[in-house]
Amino acid sequence: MIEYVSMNPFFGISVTVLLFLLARTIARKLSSPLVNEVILTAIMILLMTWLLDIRLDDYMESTAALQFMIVPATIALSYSIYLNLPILKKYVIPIIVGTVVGAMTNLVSVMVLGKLFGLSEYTSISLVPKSVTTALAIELGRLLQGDVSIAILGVYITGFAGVLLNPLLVRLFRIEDPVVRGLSFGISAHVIGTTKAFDYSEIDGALSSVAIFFMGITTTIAAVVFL
Amino acid sequence: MKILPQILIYSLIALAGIAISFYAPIALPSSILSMVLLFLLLLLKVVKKERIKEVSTFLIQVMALFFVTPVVSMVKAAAEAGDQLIPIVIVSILAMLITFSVSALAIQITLRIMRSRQV
Repeated sequence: MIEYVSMNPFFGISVTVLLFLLARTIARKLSSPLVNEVILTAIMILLMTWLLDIRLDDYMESTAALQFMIVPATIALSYSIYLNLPILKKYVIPIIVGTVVGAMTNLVSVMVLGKLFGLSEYTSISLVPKSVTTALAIELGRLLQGDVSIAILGVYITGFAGVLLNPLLVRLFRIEDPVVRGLSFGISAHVIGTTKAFDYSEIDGALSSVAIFFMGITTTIAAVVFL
Repeated sequence: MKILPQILIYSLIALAGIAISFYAPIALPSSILSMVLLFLLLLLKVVKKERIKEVSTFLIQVMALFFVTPVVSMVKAAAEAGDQLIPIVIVSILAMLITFSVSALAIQITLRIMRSRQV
């Protein structure tokens, strides 16, 4: 029976939404940067597929509708940026400077560190989209003819590392300005980092969202021009 | 609260992004183009924000849910990465820390210059 049900989209959506809600409740109760609702959901899903002996590919196929929604959700970023138009207008120069510097730093540091740590050029190029949000990273990975799975892996390692480690950098560098803090979260750790930026203040979150938008553009242009 | 026209706007913008990426002289991802297109349409007030409010708010609120499956598939990619996994993790984390620090510094300097000029 489970084999018959597990490939159905309603199975994938029901299980994912249910576990996501559960993970969100746990994450909110624990309220720790170490507990991320998305990672928690993914862990629970992996446990579930293992316990119920469901093939991971079947689960993936059953959630195609959810994955499809990443594109409209990415387009919706424009709406949230537009709602932050006054803040965007006020800080347009630091936003542009930050995202151009961020895109170039990301590109150069990935390529140099990749060489230093023995990654193939193909793997390093696949990691370049790691500081942009998933939907954009998937397309950029394809555009650069890299490995899209590695691009996504880079995106998530980066996002979660941002949630866990950026607060330490904030303390280390004593960054108290929400403009510097919010923008740097979005520039370095995209949407996942933005969830953490909102913990500091609404302004941090808004600026982090704005940064994701511009970082997507600057990283794409930098990658297309320099790679 | 008219949902269908909002879905239509989103769908058309996604489609326009695909069309523009097909004809663009340099290869650019269609979702980036769609995102920029919607932003321009909002700026030019061709699309009023009220006209896409409900669908946009919904998409933004539940966005994290859509990332669950990529995180699951990421585990598969990690398993397939073999001995490249550890360098991938190290490079990603170090590059993230460098990117955060360098851009934070650049923004701080920019703000300092801007604020000193205002005084």
